[in-house]
Amino acid sequence: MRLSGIELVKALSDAFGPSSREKNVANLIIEQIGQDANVTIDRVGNVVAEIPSNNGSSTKTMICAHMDEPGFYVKDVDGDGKVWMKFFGDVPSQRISGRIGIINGKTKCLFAARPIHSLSGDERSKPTPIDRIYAEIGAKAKEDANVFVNVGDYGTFAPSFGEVGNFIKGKALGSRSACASLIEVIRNIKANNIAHDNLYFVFTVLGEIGDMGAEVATNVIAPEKSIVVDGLGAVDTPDVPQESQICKLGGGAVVMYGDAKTLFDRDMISKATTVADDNGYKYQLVMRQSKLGAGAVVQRSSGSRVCFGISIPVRYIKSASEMISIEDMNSVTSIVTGLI
Amino acid sequence: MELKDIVFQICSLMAINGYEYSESEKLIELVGPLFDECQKDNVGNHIFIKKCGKPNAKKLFIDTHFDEVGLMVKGITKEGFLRVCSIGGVDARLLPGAELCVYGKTKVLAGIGVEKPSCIKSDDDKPKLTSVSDTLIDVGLPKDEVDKEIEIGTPVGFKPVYGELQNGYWYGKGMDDKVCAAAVVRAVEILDKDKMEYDLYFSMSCREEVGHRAVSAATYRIEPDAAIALDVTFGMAPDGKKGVDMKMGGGPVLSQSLILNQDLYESIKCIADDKVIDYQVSLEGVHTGTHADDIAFVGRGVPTALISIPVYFMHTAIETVMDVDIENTAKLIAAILENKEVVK
Repeated sequence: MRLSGIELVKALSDAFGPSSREKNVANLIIEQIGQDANVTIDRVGNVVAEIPSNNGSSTKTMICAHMDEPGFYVKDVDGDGKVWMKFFGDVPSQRISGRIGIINGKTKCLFAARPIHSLSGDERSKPTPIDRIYAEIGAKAKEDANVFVNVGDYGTFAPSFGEVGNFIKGKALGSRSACASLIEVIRNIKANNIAHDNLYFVFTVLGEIGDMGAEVATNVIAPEKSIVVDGLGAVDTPDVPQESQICKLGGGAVVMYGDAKTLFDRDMISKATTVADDNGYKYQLVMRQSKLGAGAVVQRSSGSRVCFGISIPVRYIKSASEMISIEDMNSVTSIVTGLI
Repeated sequence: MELKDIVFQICSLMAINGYEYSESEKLIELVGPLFDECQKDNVGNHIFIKKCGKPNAKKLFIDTHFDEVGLMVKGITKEGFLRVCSIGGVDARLLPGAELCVYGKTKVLAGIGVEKPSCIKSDDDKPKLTSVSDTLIDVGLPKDEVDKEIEIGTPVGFKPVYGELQNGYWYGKGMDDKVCAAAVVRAVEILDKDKMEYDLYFSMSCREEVGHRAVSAATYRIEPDAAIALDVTFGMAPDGKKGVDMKMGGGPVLSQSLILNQDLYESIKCIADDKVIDYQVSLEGVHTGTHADDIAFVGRGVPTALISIPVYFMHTAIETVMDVDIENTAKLIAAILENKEVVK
């Protein structure tokens, strides 16, 4: 079914896709864009949607967003049927205990939290060490547990998409809203007959653990221009000084000057702000030197290219309740469409 | 009603301390038809009464606590975020990213727990959790809209989300202690009314989590001949205490302590043996930490027993129980009510 707007974002947020196990998300994306582009899956699992140039230009432009999410793999199922995990993607331990998870996209689990009654004063003031958190699936013993969960299985937070006031929240919302944005851009191009270069929309794998998917896609496509779309952590909560807030929810698309290893192309930045100013799309300019994004690998892989980054602000990034503004996402969609 | 529906419906009621009557109508609609009457007192207890119809019947008091831990709004920032304090033992480890319900004037608002960002933490504080009093709640609205719904004193609770794992493990908020109330409701459902030997006074008491403040009022009012307190206890988990915590699925836990009545304990144990109901035994020393401690010495004193249901992850939004433990507790309570040897 063709989904759009909030329904599309919900479907993407709820889809199961920890790094390296992105197939469900990939299939959902293919279902959404299959009729609008030539879609292939490359050797590492990236979804590549190609729309050939319709303006005679031979320039290749790549627009990418990663489709994986942070999660865990099962490293042990003990004699009592408890599931022990190794988390990846920098999930902070204080955002795990007491939450609901899902293994293999189907078996629900609970991330254990020792009752407060049995904690010492010191333990009450510190997060539970991440390797002491196990998952409960309700198994009686190891054999019983193994019917549902085995060593090497993958898991994530359970889907929890919902509205919070003027915003929406759910797992994996930062990166998946970027995917939603790309899908909407593809549809905009088709619907409005926009003249464009050779376009490669790439939904990449392994974005949470080093952007190797983006690296391979860049090598294979070798684009002259690239646009990296992602979520960017917003710390716009009370008591945080303006300069530490990074970006604001509801403040519009984040036009990036750079990230930890990249300075983005000045021409593209001014093009983006001009598009936004001319059409009244909301944006905010951000220089973020500690953010590690796909920009760096995209810019450096297989030669050099013009690179540009644009992001959707995300509160509580890497939690089960990532929060975004759908309007910010729409601004990103509009600006990226304008750039093309 | 299916046992699961009874448990989830009772546990999902809003019952933060001080607001025990806020969903009173729903509770009475749910439970009331099984009883002759429901009395509400001045402190917040719900007392459901079911008479056996026999002359000179003894009064058996079964207590569970209806209240649960929660938060209360103590301030609203200019950005529209809420500052809160804890009502009962709320665990700061659970709040970052937690899904919460803010019980506003005309509607329930969704909220997310917000920890202190590390960029404004001192180096000493960096490895530490954000305390409950420093935790903020994000309701995604600007201050003027927040002010319309929320004021100082507005209660905040965990979002009721219920579900099932394998083997009849059920999870959600408020199992402590409303799962015990659900077990009593189940007992009354399966009980043979004609065989009932006692007048049952079943209290869903309040203010347990803030220092056992209200159960004595219920006890004074009822003047029972005997009492059974029902509460939850710790289920044995990998990080639990061996030999102290109880087995999930092992059945209701019968407690012995210096405060609890030994005869009552023995006769309940006999009934469980007789009816072949799984149970387990716990030695509590002196105080049990439950309402039993309070009931036992009210007025002229009340012979009191304690029965518990094992729970995982107590005081979280995913408190977990096993269906068999609830069903067996219900069977045991029903058998007690049908046995004239228990209360002498």
